[in-house]
Amino acid sequence: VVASNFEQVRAELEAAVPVRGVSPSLLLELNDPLRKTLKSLLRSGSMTLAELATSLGIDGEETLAVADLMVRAGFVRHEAIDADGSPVVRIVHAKQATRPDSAAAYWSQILNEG
Amino acid sequence: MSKIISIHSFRGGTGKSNTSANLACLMALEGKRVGVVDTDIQSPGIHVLFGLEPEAMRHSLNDYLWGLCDIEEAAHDVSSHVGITSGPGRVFLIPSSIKAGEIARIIREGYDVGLLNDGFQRLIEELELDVLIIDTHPGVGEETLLSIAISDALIIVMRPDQQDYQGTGVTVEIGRKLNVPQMVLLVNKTPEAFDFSEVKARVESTFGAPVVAVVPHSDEMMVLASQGVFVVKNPNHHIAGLYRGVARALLE
Repeated sequence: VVASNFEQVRAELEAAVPVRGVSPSLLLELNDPLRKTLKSLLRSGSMTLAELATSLGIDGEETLAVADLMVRAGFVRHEAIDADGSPVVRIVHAKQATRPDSAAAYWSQILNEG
Repeated sequence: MSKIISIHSFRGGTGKSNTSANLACLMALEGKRVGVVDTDIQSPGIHVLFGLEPEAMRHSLNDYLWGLCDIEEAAHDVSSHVGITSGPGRVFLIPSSIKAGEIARIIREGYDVGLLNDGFQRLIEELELDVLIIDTHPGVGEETLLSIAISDALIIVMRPDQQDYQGTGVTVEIGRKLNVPQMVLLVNKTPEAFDFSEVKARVESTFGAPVVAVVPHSDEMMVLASQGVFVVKNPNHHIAGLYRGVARALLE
């Protein structure tokens, strides 16, 4: 039995370890259509629920449940409404992790010596 | 609609920044408004090709990422520096800081990748850009992955040697995973002794992606020593013709 997009996306989101925002490297660990959707969100910033449904290939009535799971995973946040009155989700960006301590230590040493 | 083009190589020293500068100038000479962002924050250098002295940098990408200025305030119109003085085309450079303390700070503290993305979009709007070229840091990092993820086109620059072959495979795989609409390879610094059509066929067959140009190693380019942009100084050179073909393929 082939899982529907909704079942696949729901399973992936329920299994996801919650994060504080989407980092570009996270995309490499996800599967389509979730990866494709988050990639679009990286560029556009936000989507209406209708756009989210189209991007994920799911039915309209399933979208709110998926959006809630995406919020719980730390990928997006709900925004009240856009200018047309449609609910939207906005991507949450992760702050880039700092470089390994060794790199920071290396630079500190150079600066201290300089 | 504006086009975002990322220029990347897995390893350093492939001629990535030279490729970015040459393509930016050729597109500007075709009348396009082109932005070039130096996201190689840890080892910036493309400003040298555009003749932008560090003391002339009012603001840098670092300042924007720290909230000290708007991104367009870090944009420097370098068209006249490289000899583009007529026509509607322009080149705007957004340099990274060349100050050791500022490089160290951004390595230590990190930055908001989302802010970088917002900055790209704002640059396109505020400067009315036709093309935004992102000169990336070699290897794989968050800023590089972001650049690839949001690009309409990705040029992977490589040299025809075994280390580059393996590293390029990684970048091609990432480009595929991130569904970049147009992904091409540019083989650079090719020794004249090589059979160029064989190199092209081998690379295309290895990576399953088109090669837009096989550019020879050039003593003339080495002699220029980054003091200017090659295609502007040598518009009739064979290599300028190769880059012109790449620029047209990307603008199609």
